[in-house]
This record gives sequence, C-alpha cells and structure tokens, in this order.
Amino acid sequence: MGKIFDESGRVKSREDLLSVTMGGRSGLRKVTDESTELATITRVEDESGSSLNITPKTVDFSLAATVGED
Amino acid sequence: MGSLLCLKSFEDVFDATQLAINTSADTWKLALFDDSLTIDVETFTAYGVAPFNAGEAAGGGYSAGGATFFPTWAIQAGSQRLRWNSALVSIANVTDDFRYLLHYDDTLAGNNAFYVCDLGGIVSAVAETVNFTPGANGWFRLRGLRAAA
Repeated sequence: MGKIFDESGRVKSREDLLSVTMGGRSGLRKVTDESTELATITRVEDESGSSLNITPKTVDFSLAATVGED
Repeated sequence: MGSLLCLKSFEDVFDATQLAINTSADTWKLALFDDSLTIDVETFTAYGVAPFNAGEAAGGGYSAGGATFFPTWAIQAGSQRLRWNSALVSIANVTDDFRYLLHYDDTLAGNNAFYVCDLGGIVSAVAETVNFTPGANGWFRLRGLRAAA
C-alpha cells in the first residue's frame, strides 16, 4: 500500500488517497457525493468508466396514525 | 413532491374491481421519469397513462418501459410493518435526466402503478451504469400500528 503523503510531505489529494487505498489495482478512482434529502447518490469514476449508485431512503407510510384524530 | 403510493391501485385491489396485482408472480418494472411530472396522488394510475406517458428517460441502454426487477412484499419481522423491497436494480448505459422511479405491474394489461419513488432532485447520467439499491428497510413500508402520541 502506498503512502498518504506526497514527496513534499503534504497529504495526498482525495483521488490519490483512493488510488493508494486500492493498492494501485484500479488506478485513479474518483467518488462524488451527489446525495439529496431523499436519496444517497454517489458517482464513481474509474478507469472502467462511470457509474451512479443510488440508494433512496426507506419511506414509512402509516395506515393508522391519524385514526381518531379528526 | 415526495414519494407516493398509487392509491388508485390499492383501491382497485380491494373494491369490486378486484385488480389482480401479484407481487410475487408478476413481472415488475422500474421506469425512470424526469421532474416535469405533475402527479396527483388521488388519480394517477399506471405506466403509459398521464402523467406517466411523458417525460420518461430514453436513449442509451435504457428501454422504454424500464428495467425488470423482483420485488418482495412481506411483513418485516419485529417492525410492525409491511415492506416493499428488492435487490439491486442495475441499468447499463443510461444517458438522461431523471428524478422519479415508477414501480408498476407489467404483467397486468393496465400496467398498474404501485409506487413512485422521488429521489429528491434531478439525477443526470451520461452513458453510465445506474445502480438502484433500496434503503436498509426497503423501498417503503406500511406501518400497521398507530404511532404513540
């Protein structure tokens, strides 16, 4: 695994760190958070292309929450 | 707008219509729509019927009608809730903007809608694989117990 500092002693960029984390197996890997209030959305770009991983938050509907309150 | 249950389909399952939605045996699809829709929760009914007859994603690897997926509809033990869930749904090579995910029963002639998932904003894909994974507790749940005051 590579080092987290570059030759000048500075912490590497997010992209470089991800590359280090991957052990150099897949090269540069950029992760962008595009989440909204209702969904977790992550765009992942690497040498194999780009993908969007979308996880909508579970919605709870209630069948009976207002019974008797009218 | 937020996510919506298709009340009309629920009505038709239980009234004289006896709409034969089958969450286990039927083919279900997840279709992508942009944010141009005006959805009336009391009246929307199906894929291919307004407002779900316009604004659908197109092009690339996305086919009109959407992707097949395999939902489960079962009580979530210990939660007092009925859960609509599925495994990951992956669509390759999507190029378009979308915000709403329509779940509908593709086996029924009417393509009856069941659920609309709002992602909370426009998502723009350019020749990308899009992976949809429901949250840890599914796409949605129905709670069958009155919330504590």
